[in-house]
Amino acid sequence: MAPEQPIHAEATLLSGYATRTLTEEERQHIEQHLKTCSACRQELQEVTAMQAALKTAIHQRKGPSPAAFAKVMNRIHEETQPAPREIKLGVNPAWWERMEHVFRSMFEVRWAPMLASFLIIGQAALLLSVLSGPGGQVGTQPGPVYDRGIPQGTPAIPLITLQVSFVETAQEIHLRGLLHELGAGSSMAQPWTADIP
Amino acid sequence: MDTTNWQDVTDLDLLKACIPDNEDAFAVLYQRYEKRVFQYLMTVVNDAALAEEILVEVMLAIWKGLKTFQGQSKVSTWIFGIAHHKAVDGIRKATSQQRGGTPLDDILESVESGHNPLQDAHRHRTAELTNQAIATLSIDHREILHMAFFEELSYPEIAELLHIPVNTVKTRVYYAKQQLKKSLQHQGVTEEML
Repeated sequence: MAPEQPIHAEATLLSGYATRTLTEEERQHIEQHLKTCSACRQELQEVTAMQAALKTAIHQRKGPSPAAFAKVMNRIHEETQPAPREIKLGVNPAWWERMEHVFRSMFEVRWAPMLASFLIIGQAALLLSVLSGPGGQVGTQPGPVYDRGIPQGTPAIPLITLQVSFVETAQEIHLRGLLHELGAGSSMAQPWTADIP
Repeated sequence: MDTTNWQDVTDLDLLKACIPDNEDAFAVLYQRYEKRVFQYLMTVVNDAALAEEILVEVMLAIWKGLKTFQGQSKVSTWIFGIAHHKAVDGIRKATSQQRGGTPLDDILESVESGHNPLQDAHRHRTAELTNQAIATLSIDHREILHMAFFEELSYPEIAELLHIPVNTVKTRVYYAKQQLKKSLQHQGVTEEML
């Protein structure tokens, strides 16, 4: 069945007239028309009644759930966070594609905190190792200056200050005798060394 | 800017305040349009769960499109234009999934206690029947009635957001109203009851 034709062209403007959304020119035209057209006055009454009924009906509907806003914000946060880039390989990837995949995976953002933790722990361990020296115990050895370049197992060189004074008349035989008493060796031809406890 | 001041800010200024990524301003914009957009979606899709799903999509699209708003139309026209597109998408998806609608009885709020319980019950019953009458109309008719009668948008605004000529809007509103009248009569709602 074909829809009923509007009685007048003005009838199609009556909802706009009722909601006051016509242009000034249209509004004046409708007001003039309504003065002489009872059918359009009847139509305007119906439009006004139905608009009120529709508004009341829609206002009585439930609104969205209180969780709707949280859903929106969750979606916003999800969509605005940079998603980890997914690297997809083809069916038969070339070797450089596989290498790129491995390296890219290593440098994904999600690896960064773990990598940083490993570096920090490693650095701390290295620092402790250097400070503790070859013996592995800090503070039991004379100190890093004496340990540098000395092979493991070599006894530490004792630090002893020996003050010797001779009278002006002392002869070589007296000096040799003294060094001999200190245990500096028995050979008279070689240079003297002394290990003093 | 304080959120309490935002209540007096125009839609356009509120939209500008949302950029860049101001969630407080967006919350105010959301509150301003949440129920209006939801009611429009309910008129079109007639399913509360689906309407809420689409509402989330609409609000997300608004957030993502804040910078693209040119200011050539009213903010409300822009927002309802997004809602219209999302509703069309939502109906298409729901139709393909053969989703069932929610009975209108379930989407009606309980009547608040009034001065005259009998009058309230009568008003509630009339609103219920009117919602049922609206639900029997075609999507085009109930959508345009919502825009013209509920949102009170002008003919050119409706034409802009539906992408149809202004004269088509005028005649469609007229025929939609005629159909609503018939449907109300079919539901037993007389003009005196309205």
